[in-house]
Amino acid sequence: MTSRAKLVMFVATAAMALGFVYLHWLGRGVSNQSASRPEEQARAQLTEAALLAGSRGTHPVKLYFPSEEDGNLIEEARLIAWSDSDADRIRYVLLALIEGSRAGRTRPLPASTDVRAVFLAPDGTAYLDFSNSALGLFAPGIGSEKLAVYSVVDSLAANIPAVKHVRFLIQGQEVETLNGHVDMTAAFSPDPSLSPEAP
Amino acid sequence: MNQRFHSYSRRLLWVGLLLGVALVFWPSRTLRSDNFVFYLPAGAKTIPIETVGHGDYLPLLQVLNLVVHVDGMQASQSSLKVWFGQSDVEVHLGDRKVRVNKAWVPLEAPVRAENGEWLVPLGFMASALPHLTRQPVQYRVGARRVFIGEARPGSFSVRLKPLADGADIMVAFTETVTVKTEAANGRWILYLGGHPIEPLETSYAFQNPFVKTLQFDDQDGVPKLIITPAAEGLNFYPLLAEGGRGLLAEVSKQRTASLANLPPASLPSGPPPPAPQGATAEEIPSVEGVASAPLIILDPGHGGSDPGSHDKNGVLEKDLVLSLATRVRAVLLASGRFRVSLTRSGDSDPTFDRRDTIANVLHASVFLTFHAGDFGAASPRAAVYSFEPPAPSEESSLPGPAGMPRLIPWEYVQVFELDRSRELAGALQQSLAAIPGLSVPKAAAAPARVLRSVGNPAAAVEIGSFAPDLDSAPLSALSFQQQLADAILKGLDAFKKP
Repeated sequence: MTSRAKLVMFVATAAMALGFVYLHWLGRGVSNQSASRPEEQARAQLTEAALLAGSRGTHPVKLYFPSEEDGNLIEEARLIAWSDSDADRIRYVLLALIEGSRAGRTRPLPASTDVRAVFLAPDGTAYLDFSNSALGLFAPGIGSEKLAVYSVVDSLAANIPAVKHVRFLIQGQEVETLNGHVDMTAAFSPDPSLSPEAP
Repeated sequence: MNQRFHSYSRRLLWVGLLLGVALVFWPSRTLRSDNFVFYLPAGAKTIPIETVGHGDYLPLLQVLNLVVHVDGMQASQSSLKVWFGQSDVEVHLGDRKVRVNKAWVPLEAPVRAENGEWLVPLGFMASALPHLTRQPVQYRVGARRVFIGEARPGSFSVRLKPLADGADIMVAFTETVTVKTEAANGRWILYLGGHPIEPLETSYAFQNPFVKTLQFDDQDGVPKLIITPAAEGLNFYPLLAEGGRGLLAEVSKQRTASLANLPPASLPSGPPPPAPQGATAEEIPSVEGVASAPLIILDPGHGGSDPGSHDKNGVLEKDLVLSLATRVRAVLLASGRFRVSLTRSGDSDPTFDRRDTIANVLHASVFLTFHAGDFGAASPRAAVYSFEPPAPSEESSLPGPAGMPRLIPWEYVQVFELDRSRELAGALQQSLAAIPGLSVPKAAAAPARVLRSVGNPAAAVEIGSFAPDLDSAPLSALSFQQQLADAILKGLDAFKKP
């Protein structure tokens, strides 16, 4: 074999190797995100988002966390990062819910939940786009899924007057249910009756 | 000769190699795919979406030129600043944020520059665009259209009614629209005018021998519905009704009824017929029991590839609830007072629509669905739910013009049964609460998906606590399930009496 033929073979082999690496890289993109991520990462997102959006100090909010034993939502006061923008306020409230209750209540959104996008439509409908890592990690059941959903809806409506309804999306798409139970195809209105301790 | 041949083949090999390498790497840079549609007060405009890597992007300058009057710009290799009026936008290559009027707005993907164009991810429409224009901006995350201006986009819902030799397609619009029909390439195209449309779903697939799909498309800036027939030689008779808020289209082998003569009142005003998914009598499970007795549909949740939840020993929710439903079936049949049919008797996974269709086609008296859930530390426990719409004022019906019947989406027929379903849930809660040691809170309402489209009294029975960190052995015990089944029989007796 001549030296030129060897060179051709070498280049061809290198191109094939590069092609395989490239295809492998493409394949990673279509695979689902990892289902479990450490809680610390979720907390890190809180800090990252706060830095990104440029918060304007802190603000007292009322958060509603599920109490599965009682079948209702329990109010919890908290000081969280705040902003002039309603969309950023929504994000802050969601991140506080993801961080979880400081009084030992059930966490409504799994610690690994990513808030991909938030949009507040002029009619007062807040569109919340979560990562698919949140699916399958909710406390299972009709009652617990309902409490998880209304924990978000009631917490947003109680602190951000512009939010009238909430619509949930996963990876930008509408999903039929969270975990096989609660209908997620329509916008949710707040249900204050679920938090009897609220004024 | 031989040398020339080798020379040619070597050159050919080199060219092939170069082409191969180019083909491998070229697609990763930029692919043009769909259009993004801007609905502006002056009309709709489109911009091609650039797919770079795994993300969808729009050229920033083209977007700004549509929305604002650009006064000037300053570009370097790593940043671009555009100003207009009193406002400005600044982007930096690779940043997951954009600076709008001196405030940073986060983006879901980094800013890119490809082929001389600055690209921003589609999320820019949600996060930054509302700050750039004084006009209202309406953008549904994930959608490929944005509405700018005062006009709120309308939407529509679709229902297919199977007929013996065709099908009726009913489209209910939330706003008044105009429709122009055209047939092209074996499909029917309904051009929608009069009001911008934001579809909740862009594609509907039917399991029907006459209609295959209904799709919404506005890729060229013209919103339209495209109906694809499932067979050749069919006739299509569209009729706009309810003053432009309803479209009734008949697809048939032969014209069986003159739709043009049908008054608008012929659109459904009450609970619509129950079989939208093309379910036929042959597919409906059998009914057991005395012919004259009320029919109870028992629906074990989940099944097949959907196991539901699981306990710490690997017990699956789908198996637990099937076991309970089977026991309830035996108790109801033994009483001689009820007929029974199960939505699944094995490890299958009927869709929610399929489960509801079975109840509706069989004209059931009661639909009961069984689930297991996480109640925290409290166990054993049961809860009974009736249905509640997520937003009752908006989702239970689509309003019709004054004096005209309302279009009720078949998906929400349960709203007609809310009172009876609450009575049913209350009766079941009382009988279950009589089981010693079982905690059963007052019956509640929940937007349970499987109850939504049932046109009969319906309730969900959930037992627990069932979660990955708990042992569900007490819930699987035959004695416990027998107690539950007996209590459900008593509850149904109590519900039947009034």
